[in-house]
Amino acid sequence: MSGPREEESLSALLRAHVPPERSAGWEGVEGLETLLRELLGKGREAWPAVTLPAETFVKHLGRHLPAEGGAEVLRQLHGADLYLACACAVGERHALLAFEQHVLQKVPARLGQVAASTVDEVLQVMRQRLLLGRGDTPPRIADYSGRGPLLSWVRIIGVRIVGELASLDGRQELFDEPPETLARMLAPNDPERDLLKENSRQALVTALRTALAAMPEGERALLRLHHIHGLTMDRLATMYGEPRSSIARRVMHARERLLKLTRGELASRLRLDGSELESLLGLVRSRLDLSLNHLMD
Amino acid sequence: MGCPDETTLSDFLVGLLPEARRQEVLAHVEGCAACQRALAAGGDSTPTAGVPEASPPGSPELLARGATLSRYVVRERLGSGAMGVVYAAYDPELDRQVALKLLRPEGRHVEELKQRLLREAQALARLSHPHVVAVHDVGVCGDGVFLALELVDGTTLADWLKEPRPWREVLRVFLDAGRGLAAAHAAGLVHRDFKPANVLVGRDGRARVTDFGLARPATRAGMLPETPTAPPAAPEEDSLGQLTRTGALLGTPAYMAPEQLDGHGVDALSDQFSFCVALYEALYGMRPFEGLSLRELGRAAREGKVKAPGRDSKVPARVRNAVLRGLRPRPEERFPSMEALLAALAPGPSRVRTWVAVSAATACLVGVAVGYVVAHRHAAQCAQEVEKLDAAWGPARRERVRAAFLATNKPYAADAWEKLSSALDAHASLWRSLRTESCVAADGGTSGLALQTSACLDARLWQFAAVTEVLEKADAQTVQNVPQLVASLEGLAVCRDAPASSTRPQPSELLRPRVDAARRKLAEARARMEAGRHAEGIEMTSALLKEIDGLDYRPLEAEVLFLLGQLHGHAGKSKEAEDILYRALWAAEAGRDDETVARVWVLLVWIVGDQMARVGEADRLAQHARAVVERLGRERFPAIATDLHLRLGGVRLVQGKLEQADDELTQGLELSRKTYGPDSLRTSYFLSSLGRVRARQNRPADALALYQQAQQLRERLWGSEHPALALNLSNLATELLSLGRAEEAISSWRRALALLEASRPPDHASLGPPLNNLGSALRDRGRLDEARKYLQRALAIFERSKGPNHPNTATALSALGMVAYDSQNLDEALSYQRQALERVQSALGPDSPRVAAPLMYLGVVQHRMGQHDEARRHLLRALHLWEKENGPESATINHALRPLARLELSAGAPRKALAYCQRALGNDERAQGTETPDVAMDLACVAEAHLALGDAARAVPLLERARSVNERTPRDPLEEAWVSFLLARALGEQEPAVELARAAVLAEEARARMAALGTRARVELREVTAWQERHPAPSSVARKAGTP
Repeated sequence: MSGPREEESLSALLRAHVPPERSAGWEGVEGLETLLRELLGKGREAWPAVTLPAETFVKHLGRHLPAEGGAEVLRQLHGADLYLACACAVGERHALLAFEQHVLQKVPARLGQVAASTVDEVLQVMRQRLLLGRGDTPPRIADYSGRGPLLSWVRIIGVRIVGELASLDGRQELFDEPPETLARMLAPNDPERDLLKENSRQALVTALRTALAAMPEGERALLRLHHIHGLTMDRLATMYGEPRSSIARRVMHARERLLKLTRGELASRLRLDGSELESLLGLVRSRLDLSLNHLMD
Repeated sequence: MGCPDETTLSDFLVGLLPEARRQEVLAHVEGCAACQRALAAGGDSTPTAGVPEASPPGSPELLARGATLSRYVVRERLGSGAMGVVYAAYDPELDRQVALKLLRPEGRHVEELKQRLLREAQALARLSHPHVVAVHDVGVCGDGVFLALELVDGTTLADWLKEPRPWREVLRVFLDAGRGLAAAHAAGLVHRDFKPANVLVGRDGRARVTDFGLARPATRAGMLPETPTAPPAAPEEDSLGQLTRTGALLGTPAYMAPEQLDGHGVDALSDQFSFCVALYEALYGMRPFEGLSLRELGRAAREGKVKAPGRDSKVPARVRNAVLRGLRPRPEERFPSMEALLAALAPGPSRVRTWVAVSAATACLVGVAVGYVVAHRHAAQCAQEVEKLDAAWGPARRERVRAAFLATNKPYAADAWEKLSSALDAHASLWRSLRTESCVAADGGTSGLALQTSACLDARLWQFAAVTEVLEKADAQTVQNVPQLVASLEGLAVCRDAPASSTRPQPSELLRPRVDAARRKLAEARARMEAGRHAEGIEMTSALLKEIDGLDYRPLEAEVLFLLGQLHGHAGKSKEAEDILYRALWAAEAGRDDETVARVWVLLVWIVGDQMARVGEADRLAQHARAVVERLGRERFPAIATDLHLRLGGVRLVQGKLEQADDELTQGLELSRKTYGPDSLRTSYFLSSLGRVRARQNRPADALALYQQAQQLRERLWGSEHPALALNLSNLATELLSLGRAEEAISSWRRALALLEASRPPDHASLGPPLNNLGSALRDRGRLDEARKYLQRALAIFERSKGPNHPNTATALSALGMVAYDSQNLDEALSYQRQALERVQSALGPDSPRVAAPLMYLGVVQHRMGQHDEARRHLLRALHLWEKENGPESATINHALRPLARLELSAGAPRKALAYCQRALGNDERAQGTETPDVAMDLACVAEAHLALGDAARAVPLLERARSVNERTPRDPLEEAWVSFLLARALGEQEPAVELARAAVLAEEARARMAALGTRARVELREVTAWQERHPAPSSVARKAGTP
């Protein structure tokens, strides 16, 4: 396969490798050749040490393309990430090295509260599952479609594995929010929280927990995603398919409902005395505002 | 449904799922904590969540290794300073090392300080310069603010200088640092704490300035008293010890400019001074100023006593001279900017070499170099934009204004200059930093908001320039009007926060230059109005109106007409103002300029409803005004909403609808405090208007308190010589009078009148109320000729400025009528009162509560004329109107009850009189307590009825009480003399008549006091002398005088 022929034939190659039921959509896409060359270029530029024949890449690409979408779909692809994943799937040595360094090592930061030994375990499982094929099955990394960032896709798998390991070991508590996390929902990094009397803190956590349970599921999820998991308003807007402002409003409403419920809980069930209640509620309100500002920046 | 796989979740995160699938996934995720967790891992979230606690218990400020702050992972602590702690940290997102600086403001204004820190840090973050340590990120954590800074591998300049270095090398590093400072200045930032310890020298030899003094007050305004600019003036010994012992630790004062040591404001020129101290020290190995204490150091710096450098120095004279100029004690004698200083320090060839070296160093990083050049060019443009400020408040104009102020030779000019200059310095500084910020933010031209902010700020600059232009030609009156001028400067922060609602409608690009030019002139005319130069303002605005004829830009036409109307209104020409304002309204409507529409309606409410008292129309105008303010949004335009409350409150007062006035003004007061702050001029307007409501509700003590608050506020803002103080002084005096403090009241009125006469023509509208009130007060004292003179002036002014049928005009007529009554010219009195009545009726209709007062006066006159039926009819009608307005238990109705009682006494119906008097007494005691002059009058009234019923024994204690009240709170000398006389009568008629001697003494006292009141008391005096003739002074206490 000589150079010039390869260059000329990327689009032809693609058409040849898109599954027949989807190939019709890829006839007559304008500038297809250029787009493909750009994608390939991105991969080679990002990973110069990695050797990957153009045909392998285009073939891989063909497997992941939807039936329709044309040029826009190609433009949105994370070319460099897809290139790396494809090279890993075929076991290219430099690609595996790069994956280890540039992707896998960035996973632990997002695994949450996990012991160091567990982290190693998780990474080991990930290497096995992502990079090694079993029999005829290609390595899982071949499933990466290039539509979102590779790191994000890999991190999701990492968290899933943490969950699997936890349920294997009966380490179920990972799925409950520890009280401290719950309180952080209202007051991230707040030294004043440390000053709260232990019983007040406990009361606050209990009230919050009860209040959360009483919230509609959708609102609870929204607060959790935003306040505990720290997803940005923009990200939530994308996920919910709504404008940012409407998401922000929904978070705000949910938050207000939570505050109201919490206040009710603290006041009625826990029978805190007046001044203690007020100071606790004041803290809840002011800190929540603060953390909200912080996260909405 | 099971959990979606990683590809689905990943697509979900970036919004690539088909809609139906997206909703399925969303529905699942909402109920699935595991998927939420997975999404968090995949999303670009802040990974604080789920990471071990940041602070170990017990030391909340210190972050442990591995702790996270925002997205940064702490590695180790690098050091700590006064404001916070610095950590080395890792940024996993961008995979780089950073220095993380945590600032924890302390003190009373934590929130405010935090916001300031944040704003300034954000400004710093936008500053990208090779010689300034880069701020990558800024955020909030708890009460603190953190900065993620470029982590520089190297050493501080202070450490770097510990090695012997050739002077050229030293100069090169300082030139680097100087360029960093210059770039910060161009961005509107002042370092405030430049010293070798705050410059980092990297291993690459590049110097970078760091540690901008974020937490210190920015300007001469000095807003945060608990973080002093200079270290507190410690006892001399302490500072001596510290200075000599730990020089570097307390090193900062050694680098401070004298103005900074003195606690004055700090600007770019102060940084220049600090820079030169550091450079001098680095070049010559010693500090330029000697001093073992702060005081000595400050003195040396202020006197410019620079220590002579060693003779063997190789440093060229060029460099030394430049450094010495930067060390001049007077900021204006230093170089005008860092750039100028750097140019003087670096000879031509060397500058070129430096530039080449920098270019070569960055050549291998093409992207970086290009980015820097572009950013630099943009920064230069921004610097140019900001320089426009010099036209409004540059050093030259500042100096001319100062000179103009001092040239007026007024005793208060120096004080006014102090207040003015610090306010304008602060305004300028804020403008500079906001304008730089918006210019930098507008980089790339995509940010519409930043462009709007810039346009808004530029319009504010015209206004600023217009005000300073007026100030430059300040005469005595302008100096007096400084507070209004300053208050008229519209806020700047709102340009950043809500530029859309702070910017006037903008014309097409084609028209823009002419519209801008006209708006600039309009700003100048408005400044004339604020300076009280109404005629000049009218002239300029009228001319401008002609100039823009044919421009065909309606919003501009509306603006010009609006100002013209406003000027006429302030000049007391209500009729013209009304016509012009309607034209403004039509222009604004045609130009879809809602904001001006709202302003016009609000102003019309004032002109027509208040100034011209056409209250029937006022209701409709108020509806228009309310509707348009609602359309604009109260929250978006709090200034207009506040104005509407004020104007409506005023109209309700004119209408006599006190409850509604109270509502409007109370709401307005709250909004004004929120919008303008508790000490604003606007707030004082609400205080005094509420005072007027309280006064009308017959709560003189409350009214007095409100007026006094307003007075204090205004004297603070205006100084004590300001003519506009007159109105409030006049109101104050009225309440003083109600409380029986007549002499204080008269002197208050005289002060008001003098203030006004000093600055206005003798027939100016504003002279009316004090003239009227002074006349009435003098009438009470029996000084009838003086009173008549003042009242006639007041009447003429009211007739001309408010119209013949305005209630104020009627008030002056009634007062003149009562002077005629006191002068015993009853026909004249009757004619005045009839006129007053007719005029008020024709303006407000026969059922208006404002008709009650003239009716009452008419009744009083008719009573004396013996026309009892007529008198009774009018007094009852007055009573009815007041009752309808204020309720049957209001103290207001006593103005009718007491005259009715007297009438019934004359008519021989003492029982009726007694009932009236007892009702009056009850009302007053409920409203005012038991110790006021009104209560004394009521007591006398009841007692007189008892006397008429032959029950002297009951009258005596009442009259004793009345007398003691009168002694404590005197008011009307005639009333008081009458009480003495009544007591004399009661004692004389009492059985057994044991106090005849005292009765005689009291009668004589009454006679003497009445005689002193001249004509006014003639009728009463006749009664007293007749009684005295019938009751000659007893020769002995035991003998009862014969009675007829």
